Amino acid sequence: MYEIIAENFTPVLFRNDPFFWETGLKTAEYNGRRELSAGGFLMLNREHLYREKHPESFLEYIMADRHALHLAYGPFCDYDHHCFPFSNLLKLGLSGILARLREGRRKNTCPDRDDFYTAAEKGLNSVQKIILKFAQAAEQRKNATEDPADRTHWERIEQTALKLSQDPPGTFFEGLASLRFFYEIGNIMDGIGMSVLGSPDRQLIRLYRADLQAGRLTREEAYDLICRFMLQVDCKLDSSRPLDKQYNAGEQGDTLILGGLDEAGNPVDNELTEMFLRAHEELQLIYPKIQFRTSRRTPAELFHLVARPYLAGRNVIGLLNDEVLIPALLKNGKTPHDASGYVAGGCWEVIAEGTEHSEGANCYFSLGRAMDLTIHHDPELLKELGLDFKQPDSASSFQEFLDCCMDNVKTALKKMLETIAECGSVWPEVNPCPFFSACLDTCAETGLDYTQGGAKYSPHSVPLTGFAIWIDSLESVRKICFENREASLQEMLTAVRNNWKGFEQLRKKVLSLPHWGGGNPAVRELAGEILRELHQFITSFRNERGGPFQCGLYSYSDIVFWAKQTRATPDGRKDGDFLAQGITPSRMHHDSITSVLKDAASLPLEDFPANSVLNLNLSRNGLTEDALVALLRCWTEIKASGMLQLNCISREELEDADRNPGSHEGLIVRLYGYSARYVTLDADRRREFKERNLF
Amino acid sequence: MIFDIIKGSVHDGPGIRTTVFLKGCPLRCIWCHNPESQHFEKELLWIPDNCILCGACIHTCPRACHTISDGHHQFRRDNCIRCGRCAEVCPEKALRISGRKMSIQEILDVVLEDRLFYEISGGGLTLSGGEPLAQVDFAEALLKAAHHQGIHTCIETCGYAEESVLERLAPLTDLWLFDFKADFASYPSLTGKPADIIFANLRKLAEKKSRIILRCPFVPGRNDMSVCRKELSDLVWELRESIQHVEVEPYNPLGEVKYAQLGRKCLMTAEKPSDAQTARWIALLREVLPCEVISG
Repeated sequence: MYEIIAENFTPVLFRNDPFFWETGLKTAEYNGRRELSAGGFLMLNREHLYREKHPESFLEYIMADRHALHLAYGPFCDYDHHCFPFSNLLKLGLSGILARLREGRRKNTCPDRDDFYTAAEKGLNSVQKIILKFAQAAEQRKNATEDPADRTHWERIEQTALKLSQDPPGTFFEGLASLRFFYEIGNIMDGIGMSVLGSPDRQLIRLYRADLQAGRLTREEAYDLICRFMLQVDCKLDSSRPLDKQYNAGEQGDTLILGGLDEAGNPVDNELTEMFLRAHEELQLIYPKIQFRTSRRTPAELFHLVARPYLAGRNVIGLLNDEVLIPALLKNGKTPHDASGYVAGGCWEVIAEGTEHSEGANCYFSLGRAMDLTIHHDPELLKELGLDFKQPDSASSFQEFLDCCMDNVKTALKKMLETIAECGSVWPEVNPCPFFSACLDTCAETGLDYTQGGAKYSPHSVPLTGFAIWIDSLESVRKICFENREASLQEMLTAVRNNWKGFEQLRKKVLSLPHWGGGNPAVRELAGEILRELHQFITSFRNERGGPFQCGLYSYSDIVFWAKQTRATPDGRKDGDFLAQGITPSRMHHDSITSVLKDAASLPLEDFPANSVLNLNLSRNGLTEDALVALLRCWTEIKASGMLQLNCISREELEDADRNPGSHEGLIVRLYGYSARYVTLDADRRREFKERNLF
Repeated sequence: MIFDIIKGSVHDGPGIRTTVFLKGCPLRCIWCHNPESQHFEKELLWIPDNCILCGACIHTCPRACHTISDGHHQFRRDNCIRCGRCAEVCPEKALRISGRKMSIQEILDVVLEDRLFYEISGGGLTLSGGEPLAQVDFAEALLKAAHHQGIHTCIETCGYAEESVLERLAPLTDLWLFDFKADFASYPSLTGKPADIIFANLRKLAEKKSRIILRCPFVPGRNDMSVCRKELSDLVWELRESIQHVEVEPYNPLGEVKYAQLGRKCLMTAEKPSDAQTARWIALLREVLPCEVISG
């Protein structure tokens, strides 16, 4: 496949784009979907193996997706949200990667690994051939013109392509060209989605400074290159179309990571960080998605640069918290070097760049639905899911009720994790990725594809959602039925099973109880205990590649669509009410931002290296830049979550945007790991967004 | 008597703050968006749209103020003693009491819960209202207690009080959020009180070298005339050593519906100024003021 791609593709170059990347082998809107790039051929033709090898497990697993218990994207392995191992390429170049592979082959004594080495080498050779064809195309364009500016343009592409076909980049321009090209080629060759465009401030600063010192580059030229680098990513997408007319509802990968700490704990932010942020703001881009890594050492001026777009109605930046994520990665076995180089994939999926693919977005698990299935006796549905749930009706103490709920959620998790481990082990037969694997650390030494566990780390993330429902429901039963004895458990179950109809007073009592986000110590304690127990349980399993399952707390737009299938729950939620994202509190309570942050910070987030996401919508009315920066600092320093999805909005503006969409084209909101123009959202998403708590 | 405490506020002074709203105000600004803050006693808000006709209020009211007939909930406010029992049982918050008594220690306990946030963000305690100067004993005790704990303090005020009140509170207040509501001559008709005491108090604070942020409601057609701009400019130039910056606060029509909920007559209705209108007014002020003007 690699050779056919390299032989038959046609390089496309643009007169005003200094970079080379267009092969015609994937759609602009590709986001990892196999049918949208040449490399997806293999998966398209072999994914039937999943079904054929384990038909019963396959069916039950897919049913769990249809019934909103957990996602089945992939279905067992996440073929998307990757990060190409840029740092290895930038250090070794293709020839170095090739040499490393050959050295691994020479030392490897297992004959069954020859296929991997052969395929990986063919992959690397094919990519070299592809780059050389770009060089050739640029040379032809150069020779066809007499215009000096044109000749300079084509010659730069030609020379850069020649260089990168062998060596690592030696200039800032070549560095940017590497990120752009390998992002694209990673997507094409193996048919798996590369979401990350790199960490350019961290990875290219040395080249940038060397260029300045040698007089090869000015700051203005660098800024122009940065603008062109990012502009192309944004303009390929028509984000002004209604969401249902856009591929994948307008959500793409294309993530750029900025800022953060190095392995010694020093900030890496530099003049490039500032230039990327300024360019993103000046060009009013949505993509690439900026994921900005904060720490207690982030300088004030960078916080201000990050804050400004929010106050202009452009909620386009994701915030990652090094104070939470680096300790979590370290605790879960990463080296300081690997932990500090982390990136977030498409939306939030934390990946130790260059050393792993974390599989962070294919099996979101709904604690909300697990509570629903525990409360609402539904043997037919449980049978379809292959689950044997206990009924809580006979619990005579809160502990018995809690045990019942926890046993049920563990039953569902166990089934999901064992199915992933069993059925996901077919992944290497479905879609091996030798080229990508060769670029990751340790696959060359082990002689194993990453899909076989050949990479340095092989985690599979298990993101939990509906956390607030789970905690508030337990607290509600504890208080109402066993502490205050204001209703029997049977009455409570009946009320919930009737969607609270005829039980309005009881629901009012429930809604006035201590709850998650309300700053209550007992609720915090319960939440912490439950997370510790779930973490212990989930990490006791091994995944399809022999690696660990690691925990996360986030979910995608499932909070909209799963909600429709999730029936009433003891926290006072009614049938179909939206779920809350990650560790965000329920929409039914309006607490202070400080109690929400403190509750979040009380959780054992170091056990959730896959990420822990908190949503906050702030009122933009009267919000100053200083105040927003103060809030971002607090979120960072008290370690309130691994990621913050922040919106600064005005309720009146949203309402006016509903009435007069043409006047609010520039209003961009942060949704589910990505940002989109508010006026392009469908009715469900608008309602979900507007119903979020506004602080 | 307070009517609310908002923790985690980022709109009432620097950093992250806890804002304590004291109930009762001597002014009656026609654009007031918190009419439930005006009276010094408890009040009941009645929101018929939220009512689900469950009848819980009927059974708990000691004065038979609530009845349901022909699918409609009738409320006899003239008979209500504002005991709040109906609000306690209302499942949909169609009935709500505004106003509660709290001790200094109870409030301080709430304020201290967020000490960490004040330390990181440079925030603290803000007294707002209503009008904090109207409960001077309470305000003084609370500010003193906060200062004793090393917490930064702000007062948001309309400025209408006796001079002795300011004498007592100024040493305990790190920052004043002082309203400039209109031009001198329009104060009585727009706020119900004359401006002379208010502006005299502002000058006294400046004499004491207090730090002041001027907060200017922006109500198009009411206080955006050239005379208002001129007087504001003169005042800021005169007191520029004390005034840190000026915040423009666009009219918020949210208060209009609350008048009906309180059974009172709304004094003014208007649209919220558009962002462009506000930006234009800010630009005009920036032309003449010697300090930063921001949207507040």
